Amino acid sequence: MILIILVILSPFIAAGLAYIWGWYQLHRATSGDYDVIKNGCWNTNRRGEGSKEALRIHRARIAKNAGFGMNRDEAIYWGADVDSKGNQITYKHKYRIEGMDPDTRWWCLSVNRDGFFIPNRYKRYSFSKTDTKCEPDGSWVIKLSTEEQPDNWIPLGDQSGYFRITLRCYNPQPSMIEKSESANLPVIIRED
Amino acid sequence: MVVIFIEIMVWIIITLILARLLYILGITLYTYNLTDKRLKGFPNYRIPNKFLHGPVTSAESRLVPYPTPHAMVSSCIYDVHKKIMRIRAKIPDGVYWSITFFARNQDCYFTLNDLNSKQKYGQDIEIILKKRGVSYKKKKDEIIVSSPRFSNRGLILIRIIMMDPSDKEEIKKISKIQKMVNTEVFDF
Repeated sequence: MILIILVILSPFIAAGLAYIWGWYQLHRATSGDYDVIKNGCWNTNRRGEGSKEALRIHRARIAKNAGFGMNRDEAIYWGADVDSKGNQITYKHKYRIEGMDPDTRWWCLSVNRDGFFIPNRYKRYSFSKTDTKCEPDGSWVIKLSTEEQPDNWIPLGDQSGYFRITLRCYNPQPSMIEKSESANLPVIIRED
Repeated sequence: MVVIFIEIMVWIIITLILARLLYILGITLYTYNLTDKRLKGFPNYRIPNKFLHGPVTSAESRLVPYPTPHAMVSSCIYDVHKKIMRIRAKIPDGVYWSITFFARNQDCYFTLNDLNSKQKYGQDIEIILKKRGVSYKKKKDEIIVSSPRFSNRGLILIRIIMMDPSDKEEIKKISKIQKMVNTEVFDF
């Protein structure tokens, strides 16, 4: 009798376990805590956003939160929710992003809130390899703040809460693909 | 006692295997379903196999989260259930250009960019997209792509990166290149 009950219950228990496991895995993948490569405050998907090797759960995460990413040979998408000291990035503070060009054909740094660009009257959402003003030694600084600043400034608009910094590296060099953990990436410094 | 123990162990193992299979099925269907919903959000969803050329991405770009900054993107919902599709495009000079094909499971199953293409600036690229298993006699320089299983409908994106999104001349130039892409469909 117990055995019959167990057999009847089995699909329901299995469905419940599958649901809980799926929810947990999706939560891990969404919070950037699963199968990612970390490099300072930046992280990226280990297998690429749209690659054939991408895990099912990452495909689900991409379908849910973003959509239609390319594979790692074509573009590496780095994201940062925290500054270089590990503090959450928020609109309350000013940030400077300092670095040299990453080992990639072209890069672009943008700021997103809930996945979209932050509206601002200057319509400036990103800086790239080709329009960032550099120092003579090739280094650059990109500034993020609500108050206006000269040169390489991304306005944060009139917002509150958290935002995400995204660095896209198109046609990354093999060094960045193979040694992403130690790739040369900029640092995010809170200024106030 | 031993028999009951074995029966319970077998039951646990079968339940766990079933849970794993249901997890795989569930997460796969979830991905396909969300991607289909995203595709339905494209204004050209009901006009398959035609490219729609987007303006420079901005805060108003709400089609897909995390839009590509510094880019002008052309999108096409392809449908090769009953047709073969030919795409002709031109590569711009000196800027990143890529064409990518996406399956309903978010797999970017085909990518071609300005560097790895045989054709160079100003030359036509011809890509044939067909359903798996459909035969097609390749003509010179055509690139043949077969859509993956369950993805006879999907998305094609052409991204052209801009040097400076505030440069109106550059926008005009890229906009002109975007419009040079054309598609054609024909029966198997």
